[in-house]
Amino acid sequence: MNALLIVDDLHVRFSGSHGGTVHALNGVHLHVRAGEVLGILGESGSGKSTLAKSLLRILPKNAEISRGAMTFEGRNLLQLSEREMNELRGARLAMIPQDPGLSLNPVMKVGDQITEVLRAHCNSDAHRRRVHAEDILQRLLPGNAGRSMYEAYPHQLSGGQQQRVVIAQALACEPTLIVADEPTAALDAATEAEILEVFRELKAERRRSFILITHDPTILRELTDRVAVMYAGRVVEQGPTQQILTHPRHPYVKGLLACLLPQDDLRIPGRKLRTIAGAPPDPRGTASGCNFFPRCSERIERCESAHPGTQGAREDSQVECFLYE
Amino acid sequence: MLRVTRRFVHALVLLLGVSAISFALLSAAPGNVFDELRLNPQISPEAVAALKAQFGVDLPWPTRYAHWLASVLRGEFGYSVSYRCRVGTLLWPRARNTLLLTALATILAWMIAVPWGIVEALHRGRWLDRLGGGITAILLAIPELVLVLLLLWLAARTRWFPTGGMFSLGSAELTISRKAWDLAQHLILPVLALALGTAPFLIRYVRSAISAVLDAPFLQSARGFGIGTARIVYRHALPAAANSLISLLGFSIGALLSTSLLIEVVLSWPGLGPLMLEAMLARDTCVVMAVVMLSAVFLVLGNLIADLLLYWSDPRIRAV
Amino acid sequence: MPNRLRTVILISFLALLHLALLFAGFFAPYDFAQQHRDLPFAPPTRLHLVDAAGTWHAWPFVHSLRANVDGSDGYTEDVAQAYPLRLFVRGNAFQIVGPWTAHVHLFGVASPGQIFLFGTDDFGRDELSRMLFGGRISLFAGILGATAALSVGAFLGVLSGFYSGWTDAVIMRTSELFLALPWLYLLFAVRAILPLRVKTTDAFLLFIVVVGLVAWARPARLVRGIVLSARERHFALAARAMGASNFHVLRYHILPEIYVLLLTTAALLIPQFVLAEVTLSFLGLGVGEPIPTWGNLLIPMQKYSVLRSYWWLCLPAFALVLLFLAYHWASTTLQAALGEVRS
Ligand SMILES: Nc1ncnc2c1ncn2[C@@H]1O[C@H](COP(=O)(O)OP(=O)(O)OP(=O)(O)O)[C@@H](O)[C@H]1O
Ligand code: SF4
Ligand SMILES: [Mg+2]
Repeated sequence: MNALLIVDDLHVRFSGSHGGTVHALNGVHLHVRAGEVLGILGESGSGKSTLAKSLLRILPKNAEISRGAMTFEGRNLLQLSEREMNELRGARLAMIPQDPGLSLNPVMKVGDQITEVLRAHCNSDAHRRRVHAEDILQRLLPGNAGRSMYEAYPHQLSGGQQQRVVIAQALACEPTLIVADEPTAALDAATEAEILEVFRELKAERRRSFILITHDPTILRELTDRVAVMYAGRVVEQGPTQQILTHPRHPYVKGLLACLLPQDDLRIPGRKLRTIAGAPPDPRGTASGCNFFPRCSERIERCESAHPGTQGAREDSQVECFLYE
Repeated sequence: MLRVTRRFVHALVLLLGVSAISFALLSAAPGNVFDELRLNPQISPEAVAALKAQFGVDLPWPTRYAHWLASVLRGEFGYSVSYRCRVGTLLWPRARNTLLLTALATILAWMIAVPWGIVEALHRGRWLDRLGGGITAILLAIPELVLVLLLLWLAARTRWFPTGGMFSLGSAELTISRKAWDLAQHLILPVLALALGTAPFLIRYVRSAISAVLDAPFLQSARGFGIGTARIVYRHALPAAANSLISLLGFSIGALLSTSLLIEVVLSWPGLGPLMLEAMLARDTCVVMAVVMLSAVFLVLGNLIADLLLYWSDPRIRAV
Repeated sequence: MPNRLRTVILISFLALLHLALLFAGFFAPYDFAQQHRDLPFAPPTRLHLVDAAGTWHAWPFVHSLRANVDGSDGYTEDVAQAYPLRLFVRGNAFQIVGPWTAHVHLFGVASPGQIFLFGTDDFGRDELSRMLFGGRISLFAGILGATAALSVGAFLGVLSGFYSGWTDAVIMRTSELFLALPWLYLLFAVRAILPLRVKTTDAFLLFIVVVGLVAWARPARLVRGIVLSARERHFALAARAMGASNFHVLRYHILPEIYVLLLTTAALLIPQFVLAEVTLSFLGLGVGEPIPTWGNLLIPMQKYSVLRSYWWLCLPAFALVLLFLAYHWASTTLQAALGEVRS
């Protein structure tokens, strides 16, 4: 498979402060092709941000990647030294973190925060870096606001402007893959539309791949080529966006989309579910059967004792459920 | 700007309050300089009585306080009966010496504490951090008095540097540069004692301040853009931690002034410490009062400077 | 090391230290003022198990000391005489508490033998005995000062935290006045108000109480902070739990926090006031000869000859460091406990 990024059986756990271990990722499989936009959908706590941080290997100290492989541009990220990783981060592989307000250094001019990224990867002089940073800001902002924004501090900017600065940081060195973690979650509707417009333009260029993490199916429909749905640290279903949104197969995905989408969009015969009963499993425990078993309305006997493997592994369209064996 | 003015006025009111309380308490103290003079057979009782009348010791304290304030405004700080001169002339060279000591010690202590604290923070939980933590814990438990006695022993043993005073005997005839060299040698012991006494406390604080910042999402994000550790520390983490470090600076100045008092006395450094002790023993209230006030001024000024630095370093505060 | 084991070690060490100082008379073989004029600067007495003939003994014994015959400084052991170490021996009378006195000491040797485990000072006084008696005064000073500071501080802090408004404002502004002086300058300023010459130990301890009263500001601010945050959370809790009575919340949520905070603060303040005693006595403004304290026991350390030839006179400094280590350790342990109580 000529994919840009292949994640294979990735396991990540956090050692908690009180002895408990949180299994945040329990065997994630996914891939991204060059120029493609992969959406990741999942409820809070399903491990989306953990996945994004694992890709860049910037997990906090109490986290451990215990199993799996991540192949990016043909190299296994887990085998790279910290230095090789640093050459990659921001240059070939970048992340737009979850909350732009918290992701910008409060005591540093936002322009400098962009040139810092340039400085780490290209050896042009300070003046050229500054011009470059201003150009990127200019591109992302309407009117002539970019140049004046260079000197601003994060607290002087609106949420939308902060988000643009973070996007500018990620774009600065033209990486081939950008992971955007809920880029519109903290924004109001109007600003969200503006940011989506930015992403639409970026996607139209088809010069880089994206992993777009979100709660919002409408973003998925507009921006993504394929979608992977996560539940309790696993990708339970992935496939072309159109197929997932209109013909979901996994019972959890059906339930989730029924909650998130207007009824008539969804063509699931005979289902009028609005919420999924129950709560996700405690990430500190390990269940023997299907993770979704306690909440699943279509469960069959073997679901309780055995774990369904990924059906159609390495295909573009995968589902993890015994019903589709 | 409003904030700066407000802080300044606040500092002034604080100093007035401190002076009023100290003055009231010191005038209530049993025994005064005249009692000590009366014990001296060379001074006649009539002379003592005349002096008493001259200084108005029998006036009520608010009146005397007002006189005292007026003399402070003239820079005199009253008259020292035991030294027979204006307190002001006594005070300035001593204050300068104390300031020299504490300023140098502050710089040295911070120069030790910041890199050490950063290294500990970067190695959190690993053996280097544990080792460093153990060393600071032990240093923290050694009182400055014991520390300076140990250094005194080291100095006496190795004869590497002088063990007391500010200049060698006969240094008055030396050229300027040799005099400076002489002074530098005499500074080693007190500055070292002060800095080593304060550094462990600072190290702990720097470590926790930097640790907190290193865990912040914006540094995780910076790391995600491939910025190297060294750059992260001094360009990203330090400015972000500056906020709490500067607050500590104000605090550390107070601690240093306090320790300096003791170290000056032990090493006979001609600063405010020995002056205070002598004045106390002579019951020379005006001098005690002046030294106490000066120490308060230093402390308040230190906090004021820290506050201004904060204003300068943190754009969020500047915006208010 | 498991946490529990560490706590046990810490507590037993602190308990032992305090008992040894409290019952100094029992643990010390001599009175602090008893002089052995013929044995000034005697080095620590050695405990032997092997006698001059090379035979092993099951129980340690000591030899008596004789000044060097060639007239040089120092002593040689008189191996002809051996005095076995004895436990629970009768010796000088000492005061336990108030009018109660006793004669039994933990250890000693039969006269004319002498035992100076930590050597003697320039008057031939037993350094160990002086350290134990001296530590008692220093520790008393520390505890008294801390108690004074803490009780005034806790009272005003609770008052300030509970009645926010002008009571709070007045107390907090006043505390700023007391915090505007560096600590040692404050200590000296207070000392300057009190009579210069100290007649008795009790008088000096009274001074320390006065010093403690002046140091109320920092504990008051700490307690106020706790009361404020506890009050806020108390309201939140009460709102959530609805059923739980106010008394229950106060008893099980706010009080434990204040207790632990007071303990933590005490662990910080006691060394601070021990140091106040040490500083004052060291500078001759506290308790003086012949009564020992850890402060005036440090005075000989200023002499180079002492540091070079009579190293055992530095032992009080080590005792001081040990006490400080124990209290620092206790305060960090308590701080961790405080964190746990809160969460
Ligand atoms: N630093 C950490 N220490 C311990 N557990 C953590 C840590 N970070 C995340 N977790 C746990 O890992 C799991 C996955 O968290 P993650 O942040 O990846 O979720 P998410 O899908 O991004 O959720 P959200 O939509 O809220 O951002 C959660 O159970 C969370 O509690
Ligand atoms: S495997 Fe079984 S329990 Fe799991 S989702 Fe499929 S049907 Fe439901
Ligand atoms: Mg997330």
